[in-house]
Amino acid sequence: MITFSMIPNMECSLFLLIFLSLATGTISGFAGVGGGFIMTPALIIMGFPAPLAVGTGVLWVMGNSIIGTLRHRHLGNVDFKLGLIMIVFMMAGMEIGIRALSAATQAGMAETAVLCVTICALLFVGGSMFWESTRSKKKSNRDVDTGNKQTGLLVSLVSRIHIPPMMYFSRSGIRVSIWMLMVVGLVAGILAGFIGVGGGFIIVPALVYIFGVPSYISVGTSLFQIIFPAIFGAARHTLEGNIVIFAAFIMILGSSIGIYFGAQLTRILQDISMKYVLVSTIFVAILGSCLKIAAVLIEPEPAWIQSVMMIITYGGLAVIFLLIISLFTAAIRHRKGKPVPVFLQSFIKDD
Amino acid sequence: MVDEGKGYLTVLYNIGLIIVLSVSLGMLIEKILSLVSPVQANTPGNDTKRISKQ
Repeated sequence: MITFSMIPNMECSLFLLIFLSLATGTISGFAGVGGGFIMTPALIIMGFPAPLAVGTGVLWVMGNSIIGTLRHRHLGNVDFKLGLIMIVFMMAGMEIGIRALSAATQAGMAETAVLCVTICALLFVGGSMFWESTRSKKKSNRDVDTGNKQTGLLVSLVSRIHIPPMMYFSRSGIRVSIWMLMVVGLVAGILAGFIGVGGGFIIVPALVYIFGVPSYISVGTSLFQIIFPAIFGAARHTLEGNIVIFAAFIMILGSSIGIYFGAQLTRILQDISMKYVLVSTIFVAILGSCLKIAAVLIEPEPAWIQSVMMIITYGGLAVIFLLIISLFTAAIRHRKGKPVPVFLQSFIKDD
Repeated sequence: MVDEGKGYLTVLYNIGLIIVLSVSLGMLIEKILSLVSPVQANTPGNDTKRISKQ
């Protein structure tokens, strides 16, 4: 058990903190999300006061994204040119989102508005990803024999828009109008600024399903983009005194191994497995947000909500981590020529 | 004024510390991995392959 000088009345398990950061780091490295939307509620459940959990979570996301970017860069998974252009538009969108949040706060409806927008955004992104992943998995099974290359509906629509200036991104292998990048970056930024997240779970699906960027490049580029809003957020929270630096230190040590493991998995698992892991993570976040909105609407807050929130946060994290471990084990067995269940074979890259 | 300056110093200290820690950890693990098994980078249309040690 360890204690932090900033939180004198709290004791937390060092093992639990390291396991939590290891599991979240693995999901982050594999799916390209910062992981703040899992880490913050998990820290609150551990006993961190909410502002300290948010601040420490943001600082952890910053370190996590730097380590992830280094690893993905080494694997050739980061399109720096695309990332830098998107981040300019995203930061502009975030400013609009933060101003909208201030307006909602002045109107006295910030909490409900944020939770409603979060649930709607997550449902839209998660639902469309699940639908598309299931459809493309069935299609890929059918197209194996014919050798057809599958392209999404949105990707083919966007690729037909040729409003100058057009830009070519050699790493991602795409050619798109800068106006399309601006629209997507601004929308993702507004959502990220309003909800208060880094935007990984919006950027990864946007790059994959709108621009047709390969999943592993979307993951690396998304982690690179998250660094900038995370630095800004960490600076703001430090000024507010919301950082437990020693906890962030331990969490980064734990997640550094997880994020490397997650990044390595992009080499041996198919795109479809990343999509399913991201969808599962998004649905855990949806359940958490639904419970938070229930806690806001029901007065006084029932005692069972905290227990259910704890089960969903830790249970969801454990299930997703186990899913990744199972896919990893299946991939290793497949590489060694050992039998693998048929339904798992489409998730594994061939040698 | 003094408190404001101290606040900015804390920001620099915290963020600098985490950046140094992350980059050092990243480079350390990178070094360990390159010693254990060097790999080729992912490129579009060409999946990664492990370089077998001769």
